[in-house]
Amino acid sequence: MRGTGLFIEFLHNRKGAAGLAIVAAFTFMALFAPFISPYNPTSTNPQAFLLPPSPSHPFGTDNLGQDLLSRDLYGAQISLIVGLAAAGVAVAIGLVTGLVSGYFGGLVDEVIMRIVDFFIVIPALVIMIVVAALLGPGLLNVIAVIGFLSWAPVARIIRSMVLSLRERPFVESARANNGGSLYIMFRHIFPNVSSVLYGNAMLAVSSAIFTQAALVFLGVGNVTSISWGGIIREAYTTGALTAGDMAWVVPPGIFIFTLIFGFILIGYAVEEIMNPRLRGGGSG
Amino acid sequence: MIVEIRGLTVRYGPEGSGVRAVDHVSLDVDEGILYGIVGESGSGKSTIAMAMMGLLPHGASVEGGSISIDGFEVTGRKESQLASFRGRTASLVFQGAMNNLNPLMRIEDQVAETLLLHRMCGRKEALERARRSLELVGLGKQVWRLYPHELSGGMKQRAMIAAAVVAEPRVLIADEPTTALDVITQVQIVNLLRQLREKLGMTVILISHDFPLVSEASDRICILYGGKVCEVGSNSHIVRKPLHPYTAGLLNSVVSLRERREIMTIPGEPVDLSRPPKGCRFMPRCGSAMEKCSLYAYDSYSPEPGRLVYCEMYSGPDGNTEA
Amino acid sequence: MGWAGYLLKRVAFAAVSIFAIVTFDFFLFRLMPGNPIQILYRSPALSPAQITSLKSQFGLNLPLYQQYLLFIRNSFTGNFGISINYLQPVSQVLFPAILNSLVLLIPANILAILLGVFAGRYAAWKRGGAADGIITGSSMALFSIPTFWLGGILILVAIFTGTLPVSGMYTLGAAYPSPLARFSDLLSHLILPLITLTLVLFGQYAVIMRNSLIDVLSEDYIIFARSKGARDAYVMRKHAMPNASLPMISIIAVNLGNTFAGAILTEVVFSWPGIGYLIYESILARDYPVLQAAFLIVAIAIVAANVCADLLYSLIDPRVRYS
Ligand SMILES: Nc1ncnc2c1ncn2[C@@H]1O[C@H](COP(=O)(O)OP(=O)(O)OP(=O)(O)O)[C@@H](O)[C@H]1O
Ligand SMILES: [Mg+2]
Repeated sequence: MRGTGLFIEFLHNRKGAAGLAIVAAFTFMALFAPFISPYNPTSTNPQAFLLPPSPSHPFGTDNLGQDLLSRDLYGAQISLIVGLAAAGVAVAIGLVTGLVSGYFGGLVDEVIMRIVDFFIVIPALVIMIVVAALLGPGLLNVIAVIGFLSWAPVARIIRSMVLSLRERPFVESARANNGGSLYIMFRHIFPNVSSVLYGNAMLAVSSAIFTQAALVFLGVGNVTSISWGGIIREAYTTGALTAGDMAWVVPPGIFIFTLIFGFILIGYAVEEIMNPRLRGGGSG
Repeated sequence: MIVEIRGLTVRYGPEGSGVRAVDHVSLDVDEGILYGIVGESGSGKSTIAMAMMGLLPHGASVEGGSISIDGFEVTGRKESQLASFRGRTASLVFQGAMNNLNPLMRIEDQVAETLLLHRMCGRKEALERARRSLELVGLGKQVWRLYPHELSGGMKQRAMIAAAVVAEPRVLIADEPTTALDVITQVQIVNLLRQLREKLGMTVILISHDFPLVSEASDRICILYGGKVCEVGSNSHIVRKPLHPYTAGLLNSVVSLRERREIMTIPGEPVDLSRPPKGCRFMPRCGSAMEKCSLYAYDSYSPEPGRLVYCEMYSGPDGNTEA
Repeated sequence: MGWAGYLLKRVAFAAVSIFAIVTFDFFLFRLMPGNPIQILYRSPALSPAQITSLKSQFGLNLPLYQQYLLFIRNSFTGNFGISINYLQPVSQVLFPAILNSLVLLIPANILAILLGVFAGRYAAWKRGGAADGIITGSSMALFSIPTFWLGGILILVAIFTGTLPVSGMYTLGAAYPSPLARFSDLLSHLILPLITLTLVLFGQYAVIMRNSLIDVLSEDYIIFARSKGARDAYVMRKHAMPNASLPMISIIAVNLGNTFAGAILTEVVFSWPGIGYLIYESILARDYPVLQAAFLIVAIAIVAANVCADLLYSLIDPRVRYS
């Protein structure tokens, strides 16, 4: 099958394998946080606040005496949940609008593409900040805000693929045989855009993880749950950063970075497999 | 002898594996003639052309042999030395030349570029010469300042020829300059190549899979098969009395086409270069194949003066072996 | 359609976009739970006289569609009401913030584009080699780094080395003996945010440049240029770069929204009193009039920058100008 062949090629791609390993490690961290964390991440201890790193608290404690390592481990949960769910929303909306726009063309296409242009141009983070602030904290709110404001690039890519597929013989013959639009779209066109979709979905996940962390850092979104962006924010607002508390600031940032990098590596590997020219090979 | 190719061997792919697209090919081209190279698709025509320009793509390497053009030894040269040779001593009209123009530059600028690159004249004169060159290929004033996307395929092809001849190189290599063009344009372009030879005294090497077209225009013809030369001779020799069975087959299919007889093609498949047969490469498709053909080591024979054939049939007592 | 037609179409789209942005902006704040604008203008921070005047200016007692029309008119005359946080007209709060942002954004973008083009070009030239691996890898790493964290790390470094100021634009309460001293104080405050933003933007530019160059370098017109005698550096400069700049321009333009996200985070981390920091403060203070205006300004600036990018694109690409 084409799918398994691609997956094997993906595993042989160094970037792809590395990205997959990173994402797998963080998934493990998120799933097993309750078992691998040394402390309850929300239990405060007035006797043990702002401790420097030590064997019992490898990353030290925060101003409330909460163990930072445990909080960093739990942080993986929110990043993965929001990243995957928001990207899922964005990809689903982008896929459907892109398919419809490219397949039907004409006025439908024109209108959808102008909306897409609009959403691509506007400064999404500003709207996200405003809307998240207005909606108030809550996991679903954050997912919705990020998802509904990130679908436009996906729609644009899918549409351009559909436009070229539409002229291919197998689609034309399906149309000549009076296949229904929905049927043709999902039976003939979707399988051919799915590979490109995977690469872009991975990039969407990475940008959703980034956005979630940024929103929390700015004090909007799901500020009440434990998340890496929130841990960094607390380091700023409590003055731990300016006091030079590295163990508080550095680990969550490295986690965000590594997880995002993992998804980007996967997305890039998928793109390389689709477009072998990018792999290069000497000058000339 | 303005072009001398000796034992040229070009391989695509890594050493040991990969295919030898051109295998011990030797050619001699006299100054001022129109020399035709004919062969079916995949026989190595473009590879020879690119090797002559020192423009083989990445992954291709010259395994052996030498190419000398107007006394300049092409193989084993540094990029900077090749740069001053290209466009000035020899230039190439690419196969599928229509896609070779830079979409962001005006036609006249792309033609003039060769002159400027070789510092042959100033900008103003370069433009003038470019325009003259464009006129020579039949592209008038209204085309000069256009961009490639505003030209038809045939016009682009002519523009490419203009760019190739603007610096009046000693040798012009035209690789399938007429493919994908209509018959009338094809004839015009071939006539143009002839004119260039006459007006500018250029040596023209015309490469094509189209045997009638080449035989229409050329003084001498070289027939390629599977990366090997089959035979070389003057136009009239080759057309009137082909020696190699492959040439005869080609000729037959052309004649049958012209006389609207049932089309006679050469049976069998073109040679698979990744697994070439032992001995003569044409043997599996050859009607006159003999036992010894599978041991043939590609010695050339010259049964008549002025022509060469690479076929075991001519190894008899009267076939003189050439060194 | 021609050049004028193309530009007209882009400008018309920009106008429609701006109109859509104004509309979006209006409804965003009115249709949210609790209608924040209505609540705000009952704020105890404002005097009763101010509230009455605002209510009539913005028609808060009128039906929604009349409020909308008033809002459009007020937006075009720059009347955005009064900041709840600063108790000043919004335009007076906004204007200096915009200037401060430009002081950071313009140099950061210029630096990032220059470095990105340079690095991407080098990586494409040496593609597949070690330099390519390092540049591509670090670019991808750079755009995976959370901006606010990178800023934090730089702050840590600055604090440990005790060299650079980490917050604001000028030293608080400083009296400057000369304009030059003031300027050098500004520069020292600019360094860290500038590094942060440049690094964050650099990665994406380098990767885009590399990938579009690699695409362009395999185009046929590159080998055509080489066949005319062009050397590598010339081919890169005259043929590859102009063609590769086209996707670069459109991607940079499309990404401006994301670019601004980096700017907000950088400004917040370093308390740089620009429009991003203003947005952040306004969220904390629930200063909706400022937010509403800031969103409008940023969005319009991005739309305007896109029109400039379209213009630049059409200057380079004749296919857009004459189609
Ligand atoms: N870049 C390449 N990489 C690998 N193999 C190649 C490459 N270019 C050509 N070949 C192989 O070399 C052989 C000769 O190719 P070449 O392009 O010289 O043929 P040609 O005679 O010009 O054919 P055509 O008439 O179709 O243009 C073919 O078998 C082809 O598969
Ligand atoms: Mg060829």
